[in-house]
Amino acid sequence: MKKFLTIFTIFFYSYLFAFTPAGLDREIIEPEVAFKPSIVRDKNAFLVQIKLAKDIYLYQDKVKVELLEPKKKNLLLKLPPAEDFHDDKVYFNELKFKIPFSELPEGKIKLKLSYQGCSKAGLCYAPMEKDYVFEIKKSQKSEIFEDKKQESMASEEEKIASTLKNESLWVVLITFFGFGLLLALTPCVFPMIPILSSIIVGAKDITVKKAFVYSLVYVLAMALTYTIAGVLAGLFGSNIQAAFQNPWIISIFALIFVALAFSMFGFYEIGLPASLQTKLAKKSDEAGSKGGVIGVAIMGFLSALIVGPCVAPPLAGALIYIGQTGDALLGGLALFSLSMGMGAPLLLIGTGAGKFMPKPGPWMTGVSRVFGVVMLGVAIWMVERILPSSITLLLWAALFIGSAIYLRVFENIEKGSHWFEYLKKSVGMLMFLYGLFLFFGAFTGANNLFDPLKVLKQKVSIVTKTTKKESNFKKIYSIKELQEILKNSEKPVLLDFYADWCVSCKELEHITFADERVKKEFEDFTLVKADVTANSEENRELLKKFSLFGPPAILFFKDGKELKKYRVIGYKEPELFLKILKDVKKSLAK
Amino acid sequence: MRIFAMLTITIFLFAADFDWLDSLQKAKELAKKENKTIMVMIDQNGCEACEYMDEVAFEDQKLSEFVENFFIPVKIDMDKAKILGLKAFGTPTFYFLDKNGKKIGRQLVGAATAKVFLEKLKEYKKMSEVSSR
Repeated sequence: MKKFLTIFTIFFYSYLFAFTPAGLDREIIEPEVAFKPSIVRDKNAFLVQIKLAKDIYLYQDKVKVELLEPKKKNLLLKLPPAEDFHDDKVYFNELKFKIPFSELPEGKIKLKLSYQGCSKAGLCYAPMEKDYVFEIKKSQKSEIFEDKKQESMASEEEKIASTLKNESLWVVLITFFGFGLLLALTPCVFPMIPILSSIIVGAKDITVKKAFVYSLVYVLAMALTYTIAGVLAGLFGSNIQAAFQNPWIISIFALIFVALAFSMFGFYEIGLPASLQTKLAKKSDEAGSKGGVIGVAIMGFLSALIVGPCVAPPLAGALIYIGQTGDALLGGLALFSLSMGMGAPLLLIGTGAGKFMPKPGPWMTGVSRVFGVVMLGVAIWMVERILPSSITLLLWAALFIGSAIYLRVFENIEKGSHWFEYLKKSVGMLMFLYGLFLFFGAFTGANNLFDPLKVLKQKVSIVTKTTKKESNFKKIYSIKELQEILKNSEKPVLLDFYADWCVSCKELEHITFADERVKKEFEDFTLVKADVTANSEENRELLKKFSLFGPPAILFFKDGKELKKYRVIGYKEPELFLKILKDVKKSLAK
Repeated sequence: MRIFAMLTITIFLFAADFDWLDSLQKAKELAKKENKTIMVMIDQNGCEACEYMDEVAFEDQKLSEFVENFFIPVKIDMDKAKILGLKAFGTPTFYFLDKNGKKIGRQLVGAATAKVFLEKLKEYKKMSEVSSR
C-alpha cells in the first residue's frame, strides 16, 4: 500500500504535465531524449555511460552488455550500487561503469548495450539496445597484462590458463617462449644437454653449420613431440607421459643410454647400416649433413618423452586450457613455443659444441669418453624412478669410482708431465672421494645424490625426530577414499599427488616436506597423499577430477571444497611452499 | 466474522468491474455488438507505470464504471501491438479504436491518475460519437 501511495503522489505531480491540453505527451519525452548511452575507450577499459534526463530512471537489472562478435557472450558487469525506488533498484541522473579490456577478446569486437527504464511521469520505455564496434589492439592488452601480473596469487597454473584465454596470439606465444626458457633452467632439460652434445661430438666432420642443423632438428623434434603429446593429452585428457613412465620402457631406454655410452667409449660404433648410409650420402651430396638428421630427430623425439617428464606449470596450464576449451590449435602453438623456448639454450649449446670442437684429433676420444660417462649417468638417473634409492646410489658410486680409476687416479704422474695430467688426477681424486661417500650413503639409508652423508648430520636431531612421526601422510588411491577424508577432516586438507616415477615429487618430499619449518606448519593440516604410481583407472579418474595432468600437484581443501587459488603444481622450494601454506591458513582464518 | 464478510462484500463491490480482453479481434467483435469504443492498453513486463494503472487508477470506482459502460478494454503486450500497427515507445500507451479498428484521436502516452484519466476518456467518448455519426 505504501508503494502505491508514493506512486500516487508522484502521479499527482505528473498530472500537472502529463495531459496538458496543448498535447498529450508533451512532458513525456522521447526515449532518445530520455536516455543517452555511450561507450568510450578509456585507458584500459571501456567506459559505459547512460545519461538520463530529468525524472527518468533506469532499472539496474535491465542493464546488460553482450558481446556479439567474435563470440556471443553475456558480460558480467560491475555496476555501481543503485537506489531503492518502489522496491526496485534503479539509477537516476546517470549510470557509469567500466568494462576492463581483460574481459574482452582481442581484435574487432561488437558490443550490445541494452537497458530499460521509466519516467516518473508515468511511462515505462520499451527495452532499448545499441551496438558498438571497437578494435582492441595488442598494445592495450599487454598493458593490462602487466597490471594483471601484479594481481597476486591466482595459482600459477590458473594464471597460465587465463593468459591463454585472454591474451592475443603473440603475447601467448612470447609468454610461453619465456616459460620455456625458464624451464630450460630446471633439471628437466639438463639430461638433454649431454645427449645432444654427444650426438654432435660423435658426428663425423662436424662443422658449425652441421652442428646447428643437428641441434635445430633435435630441438624441433622435441618441440613437436611436446606439442603432439600435449594436444593429444589435452584432447583426451590423459597423461601420455605417465604411460611412458612404465618400468619396461624406462628400462629399455636406460639400456639404450648404456649402449650409447659404450659406443662413446669406443667399444663399437653405432650408426646406420653402411648400405643405408651410402644411399643417404648419395641422395644428399651437397647437403652433407642430412645423413644423420633422421636419427637426430628420433633422438629428439624420444628424449622429449623420456627425459623430460616434468609436469611444470606452463605445460599443465597449456594442457588445462586445451582440455577446457578444446582449442587444440592455440594450445598446440603455445606448447610448441614453450618447447622452442626450452630448446633455445640447447640450440646454443649444440651449435657451440660444433664450434668449439672444430678440429678432430685424439682429444676427441677423451671428450667422447666424458660424454660416455655422462650418458651412463643419464641411464642411472632414469632408473632412479623404478629402483630403490639405495641401489641407484650404489650405481652412482660405481660410476664415480669407476671414472676415477679410469682417470688413473692411482697411477703415478711422470715428472714433467703436462699440467693437464695433474688436473685430471685432481678431478679423478674428487670423484673417487665422492664415489666413496655415495657408497657409504647407499648403505646408511641416504636417498639423495647430493646429500649422501645425511645420516651423520641427522645424529644430532635424531631424538626429536623419532618423537615426531616421519610420514604422517595418509595414502589414498581413489576419489572415494579422498571424499571420505574430506568429509571427516576438521582441519584443512592438503592433498599431494605423488608417483614413484615422478622426480619432482621426490624433490618435494625430500627437500620441501623434510624442511623443519614446513613440518611444523603441516601440523595444522590433514595430510593426504594420492599415490598415482600405478596410473590405474582409479588414479586417472582422480587426476581427471581435478583437471591435473600428472604429479606433482598439491591441492588444499576446506570443508570439502578446493581452495583453487592455492593450488601448487610442480616443485616448490621450502621458502615458497612455506609462504603458500601460511597464505592458506591466513585465508581460512578470515 | 460479520464485519469481515461485510468488508469482503464492500471490496467486491468497489473492485474494478471490467475485464481486459487479450485479443484485438475479440474486442472488435464485441465492439460491434455493443457499439462501444475499443481502448487498447499497451503494456510490457515489469512496467511500474502499468502496474499503477491496474492496481490504483483502474480500481477507482468512477473510472472503472466509465470504462465498463462505454469502452471495450483490451490489453496487448508491446511486441504484439507493434505487429498490429499500434506503435509505442513506452508503456502504458493507450490507443482508442472504433469498432472497425480505426484510430480515434491520438494515442495517450503514460499513466495518469484516475481523475485525469477519466477526463481524457470522456474526451475520447465525445470524439468517437462525432466520428461515428
